[in-house]
Amino acid sequence: MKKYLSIFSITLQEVFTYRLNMVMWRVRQIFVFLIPFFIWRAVLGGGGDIYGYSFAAIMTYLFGTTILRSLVMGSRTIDLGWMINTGALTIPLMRPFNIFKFFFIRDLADKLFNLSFMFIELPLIYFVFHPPIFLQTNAFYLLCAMSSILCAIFIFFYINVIFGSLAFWTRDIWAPRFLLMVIMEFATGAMFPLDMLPEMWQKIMLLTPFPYLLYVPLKIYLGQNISLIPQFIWVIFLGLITKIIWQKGLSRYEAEGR
Amino acid sequence: MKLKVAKTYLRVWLKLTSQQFQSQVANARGAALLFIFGKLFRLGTAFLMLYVIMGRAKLIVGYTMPQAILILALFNFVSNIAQLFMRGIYMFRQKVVDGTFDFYLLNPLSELFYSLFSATDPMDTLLIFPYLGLVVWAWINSGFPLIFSSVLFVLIVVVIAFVLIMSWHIIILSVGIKYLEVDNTIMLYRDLEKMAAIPIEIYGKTGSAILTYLFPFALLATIPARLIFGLYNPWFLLGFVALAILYLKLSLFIWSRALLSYSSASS
Repeated sequence: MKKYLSIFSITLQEVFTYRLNMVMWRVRQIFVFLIPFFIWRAVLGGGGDIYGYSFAAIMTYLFGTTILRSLVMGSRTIDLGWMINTGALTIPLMRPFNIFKFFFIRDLADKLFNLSFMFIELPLIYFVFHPPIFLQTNAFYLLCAMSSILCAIFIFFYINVIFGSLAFWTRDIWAPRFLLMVIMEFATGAMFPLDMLPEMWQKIMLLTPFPYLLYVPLKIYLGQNISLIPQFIWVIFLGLITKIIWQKGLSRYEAEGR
Repeated sequence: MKLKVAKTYLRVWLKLTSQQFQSQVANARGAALLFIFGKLFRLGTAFLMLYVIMGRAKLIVGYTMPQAILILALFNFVSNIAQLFMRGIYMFRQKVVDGTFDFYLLNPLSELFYSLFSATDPMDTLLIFPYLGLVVWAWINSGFPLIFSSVLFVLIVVVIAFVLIMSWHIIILSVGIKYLEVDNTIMLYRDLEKMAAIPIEIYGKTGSAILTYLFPFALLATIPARLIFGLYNPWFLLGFVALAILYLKLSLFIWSRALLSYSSASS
């Protein structure tokens, strides 16, 4: 346990090494919120609703996605491809710990860093813009939402390991990573709630793991969806796929560059 | 003499771009295709979002859906032209960290030229055509005539916007030299730039003023669109020419100051 705490602490120290980098990253997170905020304010600020969303509902969704992005999608595992390509993976592989736990602990440190700053930034945004938001008080929904977020964290972790593992086979990992990022921006519901799309599209989206990262946990928080089963299935399925790909990839690893 | 220097820069740029293209074709064909697909997918989702919102809202800060589509199309076109030439910024930090920047300083041509323009992405060139096609389609669809004077004004705006974007890139490179931080700064810049993909009036009076005069991203889409809609006096562009010159001079000053603090610690 002590060694994992050390990994956690070292990862946090790494984040704080380049302070300007860290500040810029945090400022970016505020912009992620501001652009959609202004769009929705222009559309719904005067009252009314579209697709059943009032201004308060869409602001709750927007606040929710901003927090969940930090919590679910904050990750250090995105470095995995680079580690494989440069041979840097050799060092953690030789150390006496479980490699998945190593990556997961690093992710947790990144999430803690993001979340701690989020608790400073969001009240700031709130006091400047006064967006109407809905706070869930039903303990059952809150419990379900927390379980859903936990599943989302695992799903995102496995997706990252799978995409990072592509580096075992190809050096060109930036393009698949860019494509994944672009798809996730849309399919997670980060751009707008997926139930604004035609029903057929929603059904197709829900067959992929992406909506379970942001959209579904938020719907659960809002008490509009309490089915956690698809998320559990995705966690188990992606966990198995990750292990298979990792084993196959590791057998090809040549520690090139070391 | 100046023409000769310009020809030298052009020759070197063409050589570097050609090498970049050969390298991509030889090593990363699949990756390039995925990258292009990703960019088109992102563009498609941006239009989808606009369609989803405006399908119900009909008007957004006074603009109709075809007008908002033209603004989005113009933004992608102008922004892509600038990005196409200045891809080098994404690799700049690594070059400072690993000492490659020292070689730029030793070259007879400007180190700024190498830092900014040495990694032009030829694959991005391919995207210019669909983006341009989209602008033409959206322009016609908006119901405003595609006349010579409007096209000329838009081209002038593109040139001014390019100078302004270049100035900001130079400032970001300077930050990179001083603080070894480029990646998040350039991404923050892109986030700011992205604000101009929709009519800037959406950000209120203060926001619009910031995006017009301080970070003049309004030039990327809203101002050229207003010129097309006949809502903007073309003489105001002279003010932006002055602003672009001012920004360029300021950025070059910052760059020269940043170079003084470069310690070549990595080499």
